[in-house]
Amino acid sequence: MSTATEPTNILLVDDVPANLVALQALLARPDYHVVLADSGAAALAEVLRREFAVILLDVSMPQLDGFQTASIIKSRPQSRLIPIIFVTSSASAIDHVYRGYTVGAVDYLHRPVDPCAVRSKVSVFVELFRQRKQLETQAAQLHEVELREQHRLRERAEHALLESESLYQLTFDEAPVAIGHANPEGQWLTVNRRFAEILGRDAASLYGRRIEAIGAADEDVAALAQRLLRVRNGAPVSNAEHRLAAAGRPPVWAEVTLSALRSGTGELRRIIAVVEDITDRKEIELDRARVLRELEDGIRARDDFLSIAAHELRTPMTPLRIAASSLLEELAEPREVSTAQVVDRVAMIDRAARRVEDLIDRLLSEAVINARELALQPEEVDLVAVVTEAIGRVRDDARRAATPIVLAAPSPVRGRWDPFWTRQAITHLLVNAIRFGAHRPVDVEVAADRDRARIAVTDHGIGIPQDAQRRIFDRFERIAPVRHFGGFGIGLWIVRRVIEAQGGRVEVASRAGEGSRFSIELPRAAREVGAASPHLPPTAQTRSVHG
Amino acid sequence: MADPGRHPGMIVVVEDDPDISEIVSGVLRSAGFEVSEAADGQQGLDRVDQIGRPCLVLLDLMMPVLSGGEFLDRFRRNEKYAAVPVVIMSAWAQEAEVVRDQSQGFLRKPFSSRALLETVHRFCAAPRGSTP
Repeated sequence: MSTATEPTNILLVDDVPANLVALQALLARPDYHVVLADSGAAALAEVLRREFAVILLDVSMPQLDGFQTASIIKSRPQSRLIPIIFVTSSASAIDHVYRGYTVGAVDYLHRPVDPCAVRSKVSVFVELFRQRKQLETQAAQLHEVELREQHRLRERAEHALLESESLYQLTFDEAPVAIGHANPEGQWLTVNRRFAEILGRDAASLYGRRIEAIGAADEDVAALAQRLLRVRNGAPVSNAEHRLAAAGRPPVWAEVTLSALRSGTGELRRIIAVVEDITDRKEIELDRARVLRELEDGIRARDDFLSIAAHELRTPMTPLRIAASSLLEELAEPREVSTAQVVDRVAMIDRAARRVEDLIDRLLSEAVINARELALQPEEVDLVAVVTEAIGRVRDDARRAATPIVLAAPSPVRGRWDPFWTRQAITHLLVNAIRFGAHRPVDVEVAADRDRARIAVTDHGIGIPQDAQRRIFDRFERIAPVRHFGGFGIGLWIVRRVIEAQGGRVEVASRAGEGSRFSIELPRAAREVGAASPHLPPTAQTRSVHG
Repeated sequence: MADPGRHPGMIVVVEDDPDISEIVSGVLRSAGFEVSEAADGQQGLDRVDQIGRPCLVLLDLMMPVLSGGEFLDRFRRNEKYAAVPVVIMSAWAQEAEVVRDQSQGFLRKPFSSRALLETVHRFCAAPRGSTP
């Protein structure tokens, strides 16, 4: 410590040089620095100049005596605490005079001075001074340490703050989730990299624009605005899926979470938007929904089919039932029944039974074609022969409906087609033509050029309304009402499947009240399609039903 | 008869299925009725106009050209035929339900000859006895 090495100042004041020298000699120690002053004024000058541990002050001096000098010293704050030892010849008088205004440590020495007393008194004050100095130094040092520590803490806090800010900024910028901040009015202030990436646009291009402006369609914009309003009105968070406009890309499906950042007093400070690109998930969801819808459609179609099949069977069952029951009644009655009448009834029963059988076959083929992949077995055939066969199958229907079928086929048309399904398709067209042909002739034409074969089935009946023409080839589609014409819908769907599976196409041209013309076009070398369908290996089994 | 325009033994069968039409008419004729057949609603209206007033119309619903429902709408609009009963022949109970207010009976296909005759006898008496 500096106080240990530096000598302590002691001031001796006396107008008699011999006294000064004597006292100086008594106090000669390496750790004392004795300063001499030969007057009160000189003493005051010294006191101003340095710090003293103690002052030995002669009482009787000319001009400024010891008391006056002491008074001045004591009156100054910086020197007020310096202990003063008065040196005098008459102690009692001093004591009395000085006691009235003394402060601080005051002591007395009587001349002639006792060297031991001088040294002892001085050393006590020096020791006190030194202790005080040491305390002061320590306090100063402590203060300095404190200051340093405070400074260090402040620096560390500032550093931590900087670090956390940069960490936050980094987190914001690099987060794999898109984040954006908007002001309480709902205008974008800043968005992170991922956010800009999702929208495929520059972040700065958003600033100042409204939150909802990122919506893809009007309804998304409206929905976002609605949710912004909700958050501004106090909802802590609002979360929903929206389509967002992405530059140069189809709209992005995103989950947008809007939340409010409020001050302690509840004042809205910021709106925070977190955006997650869920396009992939959404596509899977939509795909699933589509598959589900298709399955449901399939089930509904199957239900329709069952319902239609039940009805279709009831119709040919009617003559069967009436003929059989009337025959029973007539034979049970005790009167004559003509053989001709019995034959009539039995013929009707036979015909109706064949109709039921035929219908069951047709329904079964429809059920098969609905349920499974169409398995084609193309072979070298004459299309005219196939068409002729189909006409043979509907001959009964045509006769009952009094509808002649006129075939125009100038020459054989050879090619590779599946004879079974092709005949089924043409049969369906013929059944329809008879049903809706209003008893007028049905024209069937078969023709071909080098690459393609053409079949046309034309009736002159009720026709098909314009708006229904596109739909009639769909599964179970019928021109409304659904139950109006039995068996209309399923057939045309099968026709389309059969023809398209062979690389061909089927079209309809029709005018209400004038009739319909169904045209089939088939490439002469049909594709070998579905020959090894995984779902329908027993093709032969399906065919055996039809003989 | 008090009503000169009425044909007490005449039944009109409006049915597009030739087999059904044939057997229904056959059974009715065996029971002594006169029968006029029509293959669709339009023919049905024409027949009725030719005949005057039959004692009953047996009506199929699903027919081309003019369906049973359309036939009924026009038939009932004509005051002359307001009192002529109509019995629906259909496989679809729901469809018959739609025209219940305009009709007097319902035969669900398939039906027996007995059900047919019982229904017909509620409206018509066979004028020439029960044997041809």
